[in-house]
Amino acid sequence: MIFSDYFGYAFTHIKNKKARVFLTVLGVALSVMAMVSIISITEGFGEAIQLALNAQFSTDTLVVVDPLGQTVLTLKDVDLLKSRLPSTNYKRVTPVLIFSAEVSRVGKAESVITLVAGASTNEIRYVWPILYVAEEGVLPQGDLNPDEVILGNSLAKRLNVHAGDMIRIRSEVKDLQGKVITTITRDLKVIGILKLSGMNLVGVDVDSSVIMNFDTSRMMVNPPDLRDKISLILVQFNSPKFALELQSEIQDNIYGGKVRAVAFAAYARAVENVVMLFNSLLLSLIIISVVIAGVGVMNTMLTSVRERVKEIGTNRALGAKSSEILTLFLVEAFIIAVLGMILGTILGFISVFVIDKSNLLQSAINLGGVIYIKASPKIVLQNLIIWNLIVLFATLAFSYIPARRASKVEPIIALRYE
Amino acid sequence: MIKEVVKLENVDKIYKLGEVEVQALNNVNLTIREGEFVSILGPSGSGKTTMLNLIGALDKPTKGEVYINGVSLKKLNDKQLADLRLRTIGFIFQAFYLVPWLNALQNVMIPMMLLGKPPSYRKQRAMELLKVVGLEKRAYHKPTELSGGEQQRVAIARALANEPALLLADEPTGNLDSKTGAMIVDLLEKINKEKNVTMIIVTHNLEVAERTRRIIRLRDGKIIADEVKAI
Repeated sequence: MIFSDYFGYAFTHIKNKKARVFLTVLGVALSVMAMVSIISITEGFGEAIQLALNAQFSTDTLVVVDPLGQTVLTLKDVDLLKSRLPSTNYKRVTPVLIFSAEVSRVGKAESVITLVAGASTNEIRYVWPILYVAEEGVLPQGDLNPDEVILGNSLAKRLNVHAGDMIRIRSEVKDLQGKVITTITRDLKVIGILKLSGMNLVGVDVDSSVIMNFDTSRMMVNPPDLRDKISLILVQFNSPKFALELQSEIQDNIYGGKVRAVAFAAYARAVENVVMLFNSLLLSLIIISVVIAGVGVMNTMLTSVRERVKEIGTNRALGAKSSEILTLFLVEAFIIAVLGMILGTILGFISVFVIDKSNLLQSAINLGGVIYIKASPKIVLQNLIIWNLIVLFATLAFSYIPARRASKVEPIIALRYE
Repeated sequence: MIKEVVKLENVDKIYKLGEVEVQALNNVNLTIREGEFVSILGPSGSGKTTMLNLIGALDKPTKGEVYINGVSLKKLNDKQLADLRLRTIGFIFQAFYLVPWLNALQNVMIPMMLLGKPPSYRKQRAMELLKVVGLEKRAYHKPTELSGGEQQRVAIARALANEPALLLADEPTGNLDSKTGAMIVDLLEKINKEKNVTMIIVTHNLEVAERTRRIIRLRDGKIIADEVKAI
């Protein structure tokens, strides 16, 4: 038989069994549609999460905190870390002091209690470069002056403060037991307002916080005998690998378990694990749908073989070889699979479009902070081709059993069959 | 000397139906030469279809040898047997066995398609063959749109497609009324004469058998008579 004749014969048969073939093709198409939607969602979601992770976690950084109050972190600890960590591994070690204070616009009665972070902007802008973007005013290239602050976006809106305005901050100075010794009030100039970020970093909701000069913050919250007290230390390494590796070195060896050292990469890894789990779940859905399509085709073909026993027997008697009968049935399955793949891919594109427009993939993951994710399904041609080939292969594999059964039909038995 | 197209040597065929053995053919010896027009006559169960299946390379004897054109079928594998059927043997069945979803023309083209002939040749030759059987005007009709006689004529055209040396017909008139049956036998006779095709007809109908020049009578798997008519 000429190769093109296999297709011609199979096409003629398909044309004569339109209804049944359509249903079989539809079965394959629905599975392909599910597959296209699922891989597009997975791809889009994965990308969105990756973007969110990169933006919100500086994965090369770790934070040293004292969550249980077993030890008081001070500037000495910054020096300790600098001396104990191999200097070629880290880029910067910088302290942050976080405290709660009452903030108001000078001359206005309305005030809010929020978190103030005293830090070196010259250091933290390298830790979170994406965060360090002004909506209003100009952010300093170096450190903030002692009487300057930067405001989070929501806080500025709430207090109706603009760059250049003065705000008043009132804080309480407490001793180690938490007893208020005195209160301090200072007027500071807002030089910049950050863009809305939606980020929560090391327990601070950036949008509603105040960032001030580190030394000013020490004066405003630390008692005179404990001026060097800090809330946490950020250590930025040359790579996420060092951050993960030196986590336990800092926590257990340098501090003997009295502090917690948490690499942001570990958070990122946790999120990635969740994403991977999600992906494998979807993958198993794809596999199930491929199997369903394959079994559907197999079922139709088995029925077809039974119905066509006489035709097969006649053709065998006329001189068809069993390999030709096998090929004939596989070619028919191939045509059905390809039609299903074309229809399914079109349906898949439509469903991806609908999912995209309906914002179904908008989601939020709460992980210490809140990451908002707006994912769009993304069609990756390469994945589409690979999965379509898998569907094709599976369909042909499932069709092999009925096709082989057809090829084994003995003409003498088939023609006796009434 | 005229070529021996079919030769059966000491052929036995035993079917096993569960525990019971049925001897369909019992020590059959037979030679049919090129161009002969032969009928195998016998009541049902006499083994005539079994004999035809053995000659047609559709079945294998339990014992003995079957030769087609001097080649022992025992030595051929499944693929070679299929090739032999394709190139050397034409089949006509009682129930016609046309492919129901193909039209008359497409049905006639099947053997040529299996042989790998080009489409243009197939169509032209199939049309010629349909003309030979008087059905050129029905070429694009499906079997369900044709009468029994017409269907059998399409089957005859199909059997002739690859110019076989041997044509085997199993009760070709069995499903037809006597008038149509006679027409079919006329046609087979004409083909035998004009194309010198060796023809073997299996029948239980004496009228049909008497139209052939040689009648082989079978009973209980044995040849009980082999008569050649004087011309």
